[in-house]
Amino acid sequence: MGEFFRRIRCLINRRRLDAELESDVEFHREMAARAGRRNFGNTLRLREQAREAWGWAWLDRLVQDLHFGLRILARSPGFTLMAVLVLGIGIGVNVSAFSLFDMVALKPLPVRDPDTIVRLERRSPNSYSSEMSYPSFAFYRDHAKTLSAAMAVLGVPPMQIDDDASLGGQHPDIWLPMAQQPYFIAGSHVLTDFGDSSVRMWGRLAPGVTAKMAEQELGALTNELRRQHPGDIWDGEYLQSSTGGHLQVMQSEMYRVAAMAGALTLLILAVSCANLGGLLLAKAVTR
Amino acid sequence: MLILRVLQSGPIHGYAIGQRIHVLSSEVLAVEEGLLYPTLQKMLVKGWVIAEWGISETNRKVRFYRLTPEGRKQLKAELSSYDRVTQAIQEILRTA
Repeated sequence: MGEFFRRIRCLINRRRLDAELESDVEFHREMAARAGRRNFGNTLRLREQAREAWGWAWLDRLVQDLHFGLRILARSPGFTLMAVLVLGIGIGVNVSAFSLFDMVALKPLPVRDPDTIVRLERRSPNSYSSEMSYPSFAFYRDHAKTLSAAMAVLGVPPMQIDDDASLGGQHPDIWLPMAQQPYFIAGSHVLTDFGDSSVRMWGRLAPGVTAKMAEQELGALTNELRRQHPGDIWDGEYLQSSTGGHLQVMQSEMYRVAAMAGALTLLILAVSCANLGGLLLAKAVTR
Repeated sequence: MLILRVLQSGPIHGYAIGQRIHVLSSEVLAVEEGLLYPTLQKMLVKGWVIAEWGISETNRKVRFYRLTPEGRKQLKAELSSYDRVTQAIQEILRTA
């Protein structure tokens, strides 16, 4: 511990310490000369050896190397520019791809208990839709006991409003409550037509309920809906739940796609490294 | 260890350390400058010695090295381990 601080002090006071060391060595040489010995050797080399004891020689060498590297780069600006571009693009693509993935799939939404939020989508053996009709949603909302709350959204979910990017940088001029739709748009059947799949549904699981339990109850409700509106509900339809606490609902297939995109961006980085290696090689060869 | 032992009798400068070891060992041992100064620096870092400015016998400003309590402790430890080793060697030389 004490030694660590002394080392740090050595680093800070190295100019003074070096002067002191030089004085030591100089004095030694004077005395040796007085005693008739002349072969003292290289004082610089001696001082360098002594400085190693401070434990910062690697830092000196690092600084030297950096200086050298900077000089080399400054001497060939074209090469420097290319190298910076290649690395910049490689790293930039990776950073943006992974931060995008992080934003849509990894970071939970800024809401209470994002774990209990599920996204509910219509599925059947041969059909898939992330949207359902508003009256079906209302039916589920009113009858499901495994959901403590449910939300239907037309357009962009309001929980994404705080995030400009999700709206493509544009803020809509007006937000309409969905229930007001028929007042603003003449002849709109959104609220009553079971065949008009136009809203996306989120639900909050009731305390102690798992997504599987909710799916089962909702499945029974779907069957009830099919009995009432046979034309609008698909054969074998059920509601599939997925964790909804993120901006993007990730299906397992999408994870595969994301993994592939990740691998691709990593490849881009690898390729840019290889390019840089090629550049260095070419430079070395011309030299 | 030898340097520490020489310093035990009081603060002295680098050149004198070498001289004293040379003289005290009846000119058998000579401390190389290339070893002496790096070692002194290491001891400074370890906190076994401290250096102070003083005036040499030739009227020149030089640094005198002085043992710290920690250095004394280190000297004691090194002496005892040295004793153990020499005893062991003696033992072998006598009985083998």
